[in-house]
Amino acid sequence: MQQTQTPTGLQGQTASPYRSYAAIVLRSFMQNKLAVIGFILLILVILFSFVGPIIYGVSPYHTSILKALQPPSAKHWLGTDDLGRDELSRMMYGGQSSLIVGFASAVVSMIIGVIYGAVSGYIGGFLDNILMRVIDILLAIPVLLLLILLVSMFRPSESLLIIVLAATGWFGTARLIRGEALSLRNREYVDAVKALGGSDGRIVFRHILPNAIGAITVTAAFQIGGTILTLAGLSFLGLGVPPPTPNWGSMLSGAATNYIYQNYWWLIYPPGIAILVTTIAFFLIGNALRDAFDMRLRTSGN
Amino acid sequence: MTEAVATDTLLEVNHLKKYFPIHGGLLSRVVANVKAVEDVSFSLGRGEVVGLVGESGSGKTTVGRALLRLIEPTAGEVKYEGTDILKLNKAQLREYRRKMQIIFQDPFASLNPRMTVGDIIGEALQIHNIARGKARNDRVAELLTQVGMVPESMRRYPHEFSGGQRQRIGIARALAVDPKFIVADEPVSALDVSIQAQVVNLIQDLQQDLQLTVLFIAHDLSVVEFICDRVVVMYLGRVMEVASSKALYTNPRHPYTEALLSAAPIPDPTVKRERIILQGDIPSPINPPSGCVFRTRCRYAIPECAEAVPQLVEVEQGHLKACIRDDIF
Repeated sequence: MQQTQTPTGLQGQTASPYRSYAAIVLRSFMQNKLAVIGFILLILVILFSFVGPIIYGVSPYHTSILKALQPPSAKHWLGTDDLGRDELSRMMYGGQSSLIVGFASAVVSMIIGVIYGAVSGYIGGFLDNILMRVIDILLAIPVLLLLILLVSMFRPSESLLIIVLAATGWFGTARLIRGEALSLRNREYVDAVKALGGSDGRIVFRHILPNAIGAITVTAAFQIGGTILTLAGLSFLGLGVPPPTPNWGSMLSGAATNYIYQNYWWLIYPPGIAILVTTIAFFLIGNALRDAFDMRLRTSGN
Repeated sequence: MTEAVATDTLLEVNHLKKYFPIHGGLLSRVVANVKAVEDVSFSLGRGEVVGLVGESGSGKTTVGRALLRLIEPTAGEVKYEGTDILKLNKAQLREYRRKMQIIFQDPFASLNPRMTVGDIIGEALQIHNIARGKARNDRVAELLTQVGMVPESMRRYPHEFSGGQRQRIGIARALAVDPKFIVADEPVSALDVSIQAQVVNLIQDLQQDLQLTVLFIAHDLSVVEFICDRVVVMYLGRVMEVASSKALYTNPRHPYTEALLSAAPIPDPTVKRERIILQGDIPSPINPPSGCVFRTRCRYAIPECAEAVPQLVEVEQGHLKACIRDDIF
């Protein structure tokens, strides 16, 4: 056979500049207008909560009955609450606890969910069946009731909330990652690693989870948003971060139960809007990430 | 192509079986078995290229994967230099992973899209502690050159390459551990015709340079004729005929082989020949026909065909067939 073997590669084509995987995803993420809006909103909320107090410099705990329920003024930009505490400062500190609890519990529940799901999906068979039935049982318990039970059993604190929200937040993630692992473990590149003698750990951590990173990131974004919402809900019911620590949910609850008919709008709208904006920011980011990872899949498929 | 020197056997497959259970009912008991591979035996001589052909659903791919234990066979023996690899434990098997490799059919599915080409090929070197760091990169560059690609490709991701280039990367990965035996599972079926020839030539060159033993699974008979020394013809999980390439193409002795050959296109419109069109589909491997599995579609079938499974018998030196009708060819 006459052999005409010239090296092939990308030298003949218009070689695109070298780009890492993260760079490709980031690029398509930044091309999405809603994503950028979500991202900016999130940055603003973070700046508001963590940098805001330094600039504003008013204590959220200082009470003064004489100054109770004042409308916004030059001294108290967002007015004061029924104990005369500065509303804007409480909004800022409330944001800190919302973000920290939301982020930390989402991280913990993602870790549990990803490991549980990956093990279940990759090993499969009987173990998978057992693990998934456990999830079915846990999912059948109404989360809010479970949360109320757990929170009333123990002394409420931020770390308890993180643990409780994480413990009840990982079921969906585990199912999703299990599905991903189930489909990814049958890919030929996984067979190739098996044929090379690669260990199960290598297959899960180097081949299955990196390919599920899209699903993981997207879920994490939604998870943080959802957790912040749940936390606000719990606080609204009086089961969140214990007073006097400010929290959007409990601020809203206090305002809504006592002052909803008295036109103290500065107590009602700000926490409501803050919860809405933060949640929307995370959902926009989650959506955009999903699209960004999908786009990546499209280019790799042709 | 050199004539096969089949005196030194590298790999011997004896009575290989693979049943896939079908679960059903409330307790998911096994209600039936898909008999994907039923009593397959053949051998490969050192340095030999053996083709494994048959239509879709004949169990070719299952055989290929069972040899490497990517699928655990139900029964049988796979002897590599006399050692039955089906009896090895995990640690022992790892040693044999270096000696036996596979090239996959779909070059788009067989490369991890999240890893660079260098990492994909280098992973083989890492798993077996062959080379790390700079030595690894040097070896990857060498492998890429060997399969006809520029070494700079190692920093790129699989999606930046065409199907043919990806298949070359897959071949480089298989070669990284310096195997003696390679299963090529329809390595060109997913490629454009214009690229097929290049990849087939590459495999053939590598086979000769590296003295590889290859099991070449395909359904394209012209490719098999070109590259293989011997051919094993499968139908519904059983071996129908085994012969040297030349003997098989010029003088098929089994009705199924005859039908397969008549279906292969000849690029010469002046050649007139009889086309044997097989009626119907391949029967269900859950409930295969009794006796000879091919009898339901065989134009030479007689009532006796249903009675017993025909054994593979040698009709000429190195030419085996599983058919009770000796009077037809």
